[in-house]
Parts: sequence; structure tokens; C-alpha cells
Amino acid sequence: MTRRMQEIVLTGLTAVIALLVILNGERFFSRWDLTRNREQSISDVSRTLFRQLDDTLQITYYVSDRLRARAAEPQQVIDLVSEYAAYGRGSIEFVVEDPVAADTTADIERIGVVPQQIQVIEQDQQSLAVVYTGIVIRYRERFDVIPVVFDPGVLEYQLTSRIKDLIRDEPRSVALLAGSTINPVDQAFQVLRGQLARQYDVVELAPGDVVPAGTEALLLLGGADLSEEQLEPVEAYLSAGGSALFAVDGVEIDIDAGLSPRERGDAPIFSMLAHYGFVVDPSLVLNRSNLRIPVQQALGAVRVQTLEAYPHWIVIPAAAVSTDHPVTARFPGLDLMWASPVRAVDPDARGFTRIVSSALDSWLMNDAFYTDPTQRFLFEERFNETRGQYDLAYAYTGAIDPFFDSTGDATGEARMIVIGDSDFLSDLSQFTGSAHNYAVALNMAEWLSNDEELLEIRTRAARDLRLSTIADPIRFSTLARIAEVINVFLVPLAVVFAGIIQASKRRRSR
Amino acid sequence: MGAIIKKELRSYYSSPVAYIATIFFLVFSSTWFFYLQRFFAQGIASLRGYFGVMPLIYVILVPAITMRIWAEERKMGTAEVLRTLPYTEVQLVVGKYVAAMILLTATIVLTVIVPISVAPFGDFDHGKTAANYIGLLLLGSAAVGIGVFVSVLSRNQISAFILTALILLFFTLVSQIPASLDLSPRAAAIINYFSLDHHFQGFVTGVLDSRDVLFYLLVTALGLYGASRSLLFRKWR
Amino acid sequence: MIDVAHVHKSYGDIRAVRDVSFTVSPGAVTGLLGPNGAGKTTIMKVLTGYHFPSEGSVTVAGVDVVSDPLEAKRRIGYLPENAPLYPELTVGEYLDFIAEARGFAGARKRARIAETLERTGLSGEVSRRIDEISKGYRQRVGLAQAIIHEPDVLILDEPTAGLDPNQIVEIRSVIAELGRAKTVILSTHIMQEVEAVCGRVLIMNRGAIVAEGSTDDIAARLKGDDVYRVVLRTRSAPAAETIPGVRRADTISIEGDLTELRVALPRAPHSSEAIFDWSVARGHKVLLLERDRANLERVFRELTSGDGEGR
Repeated sequence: MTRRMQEIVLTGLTAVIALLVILNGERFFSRWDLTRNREQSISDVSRTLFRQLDDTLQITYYVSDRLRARAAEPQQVIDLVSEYAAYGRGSIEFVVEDPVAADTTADIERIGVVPQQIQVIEQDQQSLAVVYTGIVIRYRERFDVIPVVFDPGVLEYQLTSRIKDLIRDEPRSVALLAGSTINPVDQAFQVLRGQLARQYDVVELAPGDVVPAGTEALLLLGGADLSEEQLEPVEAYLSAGGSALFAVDGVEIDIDAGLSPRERGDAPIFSMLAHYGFVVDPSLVLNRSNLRIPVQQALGAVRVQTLEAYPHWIVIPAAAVSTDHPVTARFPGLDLMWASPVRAVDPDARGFTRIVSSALDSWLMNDAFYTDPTQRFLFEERFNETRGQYDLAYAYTGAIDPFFDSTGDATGEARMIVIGDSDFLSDLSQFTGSAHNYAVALNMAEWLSNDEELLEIRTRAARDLRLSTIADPIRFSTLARIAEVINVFLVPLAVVFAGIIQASKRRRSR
Repeated sequence: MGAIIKKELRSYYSSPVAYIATIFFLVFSSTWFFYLQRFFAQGIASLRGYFGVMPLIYVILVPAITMRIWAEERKMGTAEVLRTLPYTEVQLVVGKYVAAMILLTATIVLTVIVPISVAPFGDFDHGKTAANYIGLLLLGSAAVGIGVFVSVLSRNQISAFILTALILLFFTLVSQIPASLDLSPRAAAIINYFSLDHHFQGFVTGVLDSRDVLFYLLVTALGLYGASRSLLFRKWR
Repeated sequence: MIDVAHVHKSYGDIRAVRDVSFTVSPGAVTGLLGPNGAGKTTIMKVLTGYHFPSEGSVTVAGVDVVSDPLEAKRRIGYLPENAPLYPELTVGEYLDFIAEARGFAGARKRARIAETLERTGLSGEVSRRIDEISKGYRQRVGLAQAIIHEPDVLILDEPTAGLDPNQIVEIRSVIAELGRAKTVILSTHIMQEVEAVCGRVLIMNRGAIVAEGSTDDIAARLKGDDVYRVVLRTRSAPAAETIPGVRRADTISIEGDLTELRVALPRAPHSSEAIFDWSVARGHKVLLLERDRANLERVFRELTSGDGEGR
């Protein structure tokens, strides 16, 4: 009996200890981030932000309790922002508040937190509920708002870039200039404009406008229709230490005119770029690893729409981009439409970096340009003669050698990216499901505006999420079938055999 | 304790149950991943879909492994021999737990072929995959702990299997309650704390959180402790 | 050496064993005889520490089974009822497991296994699966399991149940041999088994010990002799063997001039007359003369009628 009592007491004590372990484990904990680039933790840039603070920075997360109870993301947001506070050594304050309970909904809506609707089931009734999940950052008299926060994956970038802007007290700005009459910004580049507007003040320039001082980067979208006079302000900006993206087409395709091609190799911009050291060839790069294009075909009286492989829309594999250059170091994927090869006159010259090439086994179309998807039989006309890998984009850092006599000597170090395609930045990428193209564009904008720290945060989690290592579709599907068969059939069969062998071994030993 | 582990493994591999459970696990998980989720057609370099379904497969796999662990000894009467060998209750329970974990680990190791065979197709985050496997082992350990406890309490294999499966199913899906009902954050947090699946989500994103690790280890320890205590108190029954 | 003191054991509301006390010494096999349901198996389980007594204490080889079960288990070899085994293992694998569990390893382990197999006549069956050998062999495997570590104390629950006559003879000879050096207690519901292997016997019925003594004594009492308890006042030592027709006569105690005897006479009506006449003739004063069989008779009937339906 005494032993029994002892054991009962011991069992009770153990239960109490377990409870204490649970409670303390929830209070004192640590996380180990096993992901590549520690994408689930905040980066050094964010950790050391507090050094730039002269005053207390207050981050308030306005989140509705009913959303917090329902979804995991608010807790992840809280965990992440808590890291800022933890590293902030007291200069970063973090508060979580339910605006409904605190009765501050009107106030926070006024400063820009946007209410969201979610479906809830209450007493068996499905209804819509209004919830909030927004962050307000206050520093001195200034504040900034992230209207809706739900994806913890992009939160660090949003938060750190806003905090930096608040500290600096001036927004960053980029300028857009459409250099081709067939694709004006307000018609063809609305998605890109919207994406940039989340991080920058976006200024639209007309050809010939002076690039405003303080512009972090100029994005030139096409350029064949710019005259020499209209190019002069661009060079003036570069010469003063500006940064520019030249997304230029050696062959322009007019989508609205039945994909009609126009060869533009003689436009002044190509002479200017050649003077800087970049040669854009008036030809097109094609590849069998490509996107599909919808094609309407008449079958008797019926019109059918099919998706056809379109070698003009090439998929750039991760293996074909520079892993050293910040723009492509963490590669989210890139699809180019009707791209022209770009060469550096002297690729080994100081400041030049090749950042994008085509996949292996690409080929060129360089005299007759067939773009109609129904003329596929003509696409591979020059496959055998021109088969190879072609460079498609170069970056350059350094002072420029002026092309125009009117430009004085360079007074600052310029940054330039030249890529042989402007269509990948257009709304066409939305249509082809190539959202990663805009991510690459943001990478370029950030590198051009010298914001490599932010670039690094934003691209930390970026990988090419597609299964793009194997470019050849036939090889891909063969290997895919093999992988399926191995896992679904062969491995289980091996276990069956192991079982049979084991059983017969025991039977034989008898 | 080595003798018990060895004997348990011998028993496992001389009956078809272990093989059938392993084959079921492998066929189900890879069919799910390749044919139902259509991994190659989706074309996304992520194993989330593969690992995401594992907690649900465990609901069947783990009871199949643990059901016989004590219930069968009791039914066959062999418990009487086992318990008059010079072992403490804790040693007996832990020995059987270790054997079950070896079997489960062997099964999980076979699934490594899936990440290896899809690795050439894209850019996978291997750190994340590793975190997932650590999570799978910890989740498996907690589930085996529960299964061992239930098996001690059961009179036969079938009831041990059904009861373990129901318990695992409940604690896997319990995190759906706060997701669909309007609860206070505190109530939701408490319910989520007891969800086996909720704690697995951290591993899915590639993060080892000491709270999740502690939860699984604690469930394992409590399951084994409960099992050894009920064995001990049964002596006074 | 087994020492059981005032052991009670209840399972829920059912009292399986009431106030049982006895000791078992080495050198002779002790039989625990009783009909089915008498509480024999409960006693066996309590002796091994598989169950703990509700009250009372059990000491095996000097170790208390409740406070130090681990040490007690080391000194005990136990063959449970029906010799439960793992059907999916081979005889060799099973004994290998038991030997390792008992702390043997390497060459010593192999030697112990070989010796035990030899002793139980199992050498030819090592690599056969347990579910493929006969009941008799399974019983031997169970016995082998119990003796592999040469325990001080051997506890055997119905060791010959379900065996054919030849197998029974073999197993009994093994047990008898073991009993010479060790403390052995076996349970059975068959009188002949006790007579064949046990030097001492405890008889249980309905959860209590109803008789204990040497096998010869108990056998005589069970075999229909009239057994009398006699208390004499006498100065000289009574020579009970001179009672006419006496089968057995044991002196139970002598205190001063009081002598207590147990005397067995062939069953006959009024057989007590012979004792009375003998006492008078010898000059002993008879203080008490009573039949000593009230419980035993019923037990005996149950034992004999139960023979054959027992497992």
C-alpha cells in the first residue's frame, strides 16, 4: 500500500512538472531557420536598422481578434515584427491592437488601413465579417502605413523599406519613358507601373523631357522611336551619375497589327548603346523551351482556340543567368518575348557583367522574321546554322563616355542594364502568367537605385519556383515519368521483394 | 533494453503487418503527390504538397505500427513473461517505443527517394526539406507515444488501432475548429496548442521552433509515461 | 526460499485470495494443489510480482517483490499458465531474446542457450517457428525460458497441462531434478502430479490454504484414511506406531506432558476406538480426540471429480 501511495504521488508530481514545462516552453523559446538564405528570419539589414534611429520608432499591428483566431498568418506577422523589436534594443516598440476592441477603426481607416471582408460561420449562418490587418509605423511626427498585411513572406521588405523611407524622410522615385510609339506606358505597361508604385514615386516622362534630379532610376521601355535630340537628356542624366535600364528591341513586334515585325537596327539608340559598349543585334532568339500562345483556327465552320508552343517566347533557365550579379543572384524566373541578342563589345572590360543568356540550343531568326504561330514550320529554318547560346542582357557600372558632343564629361558613376526585350515588362507578362518578370524588373530598379540591401531582403525568398532546370520538354516528360514510376511502383515493389526474401529465408532455415 | 528492441524488430519483420504498412505509406504518399496533386503538371519546385499530406497518412500508418505493441502481448499472455523479466515498466515501454520509431524511421527514410528523384527538375530548398523531415520524425514520435499508450490500455489489436486512429485524427484536425468558428484568440491558441497538425506547420515553412519541438517531445514523453504508469498500477488492480 | 505472509488479493470486488501464509524451502518441490478457481494462479502471479498483493507481503529469495521487484524478478524463473510464447519467432530467436533480457551476452549467452536446450530436450527444434511445434515442445520452451538464468526460485503454473502422458513424464523428471537444488513451487489440480514430483504440498480452496504438509501425509489424508488429531497427557513418550492397524503416526508437538499427535487409520466405522483403547492400555489420558478431515474431504471430492475437466 505504501508503495502504491508513493507511486500515485509521483504520478501527480510528474503531471505538474509537465504543465510547468509547457508554460515555460511557451515563454522562453527560440527558432532555428533551416531555409536557404534564412528566408523565415529577418536579415542583418533589418536587425541593424535601429542604429539609424535617433528616436523611438513605433510599429503598431492592427489586427482583428476574429482574424487572429481564424488564420495562422497574423501570428507569423507578430512573430516577425517581434524580431524587429527584439533586435531594436528598446528603440523599436511593437504593439498589437484589435481596432474593434480598442474602438479605433475610424481612426486607422482614416490614415489608410484598409478593412477586409472574410466569410464567417456564426450560429450556422454564413456571413461576411469586416476585419483589419494593417501596420502603421510612426517615427517622430511622420508615419507610414501598410494597408493590408497578410503574406509574412514579403512583410520584411515592406517594413524595412518603409522604415528606411521614414528615417530618410523622402520617397524614392523612378522615371518611366516609353521609347516606342507602338507601346505607350499608359497602354502597355500598367502592371509594371502599379508594381513600381508600391515602392516608389513613379514619374512618367515624355520623349525629350529632362530627367528630374533626384530620380533614382530611369526605365526606358523600348527606344527605337527616340530621336537623337530625345536621347540627349537621357545621356545627360547618365553622365551626372544616373542609372538607367535600356529595354530595347532589335526587332519590334506589333501585337495589335497581327504580330507584324519591324526591324529597327538603324535607330539612333543602337548607335548610342554601341558607343557605350553594348551591341543589340536586329535579330530574334528562339528556343524549344518556351511558353504557349493561343491560336485560333477554323475547322470547317467551327473556330477552335488551341495553345501552341511558341519558340519566340523563351523561358530563361536558372542556369543561364549570372548568380553573382545582385539582379539575378536569387532568380525568380524570367520569360522573354521576341528577344534580341545583346553583346558587349568587350565583355571583359571593367564594369561589364553578363547577367542573362538564353538556354542552350537556342537559334536565331535574322533576315526573314516569321512570327505567325501558324507558320511554325518556318521557325526553325536557321536552326542548324545558328544553334547556340546567346547573351540577352548586360549590366555596367562606371562613368560613361559621352556619345553626344553636347554632353560634358561624366561627373558621376552610372549604372546601366541593357536587355534586348521590352515586351517582358509589358502587360503581356500578366497574360502569359509570367509574374516573375515584374519581380526581375523590381530587382533591376533596386539595383539601379543603389538599394542592394533592400534588393537582398526582397529576393531572399525568391527562387525560380518552376521546374525549369530541364529545358527540353521531351527530356523533361521522359524523366518525369521515370521519377513517377520509381516512386509509385519501384520503391514499394522493392519493399515487397524484401518481405518475400525475408519470409522465404525464414522458411528455408527450418 | 537492447534485447527488447531486437525482439520487437524481429516480430515486426516476421509478420506481414510492417511490410503492408510501409507499402501503403509509400504508395499512398507518392500517388497523392504525383497523380492526384499532379506535381509535374503543376510545375512548382515545392514539396509542400508532399509533406502536407503526411500528418493525415500518419493517422493510419502509426496505429498500424503501434496497435500490436502491447495489446497483442496481453491477448497472447506473453505480457506475463515479459513483465517478469528483470525490466522496469519504463524500460519495457521505452524499448518498444524505440523499436516502433526504428520501423517508422525506416519507412520515412524510404520516402527520401521522392525529394532526390525530383531534385534535378528544379531549384528546391533542401534546408526546408530537412526541416520537414525533422518535423515528420518528431510528429511521428508524438503519434507513436500516443499509440503506445492506447495499446497498453486496449485488450486487442483492432480496438487499439481504431482508438489510436480516432485520437490522431481528432488531434490532427482540431486546428480546423478555430479556423471555422469565431473564438477568442486565447481559446483558439489553446485549441491550436493541442493540434498535432498546427505544430507541424512551422516545419513545413522550414523553421524549427523550440515550442513545436517541445510539444512533440512532451506528447511523446507523456504517452510513454502514461503507458508505463498504467502498466505499474495494473499490478494493484 | 519463498515467504508469503498474510496475503490478500482482490480483483475489483472479487476476493481471489484471503489471508494466505506459507513458506517454501529449497530441496523439495512444493506443489500448490487445488481445484480450478481456488486461487493458485493468483498466488503464482503474486509470487512473481506480476501482480502486487492487496495486503500482506511476499519475500522471494530474501527480496520483497513489491519494494524491489527488479531484484526479485532476477532471482525468479517463471512459467505462466499455458506457456505463452511469440508464435512468429523461432525457438532459437525466442531463447536468444530471453537470454539477452536476462543479461547474458556473447559466448556465455550461447553456452547458456545450448545448455538449456539440451536440458529441456529442444536441441533439434532451434530453428523452427514456435507456431509450428507441438504443445509439448512449446511447454518445454516455456520451461527453458524459466530456467535459462538458473534462478534460485522457480515458479511453474500448471507445467504439464495439456501434455500427453509421455511428455508429462519427461517434464516431471526435469522438474524433479531441478527441485533438488532450487526452491521450486508448481501449481496443479491433479493429485497424481503432486505425488509424482512434490515432497511437500499446499492445498488451496476458495482462496485460502486449507491444508499443508508432506506429500505422504496429505496423500494419506486424501486417500480415505481416517485421520485423527489426538492430544494426550503422558509422562512417557507415546509410541503411536504401536496403535493396532496404524497407517501413519506423526508427533505434531510436545509441550510438558502434553503431546499432540496426528494418527491415520484405515477407514472403518468407529476407527477411533482403537486409539482410545490403546491410550487406556498405555495409561495416557486422552484430552482430545477428533477427526481431522472436515475441509479436506470436500476438497478431495472437487479435486477428483474435477480431474479431467481441468485444463
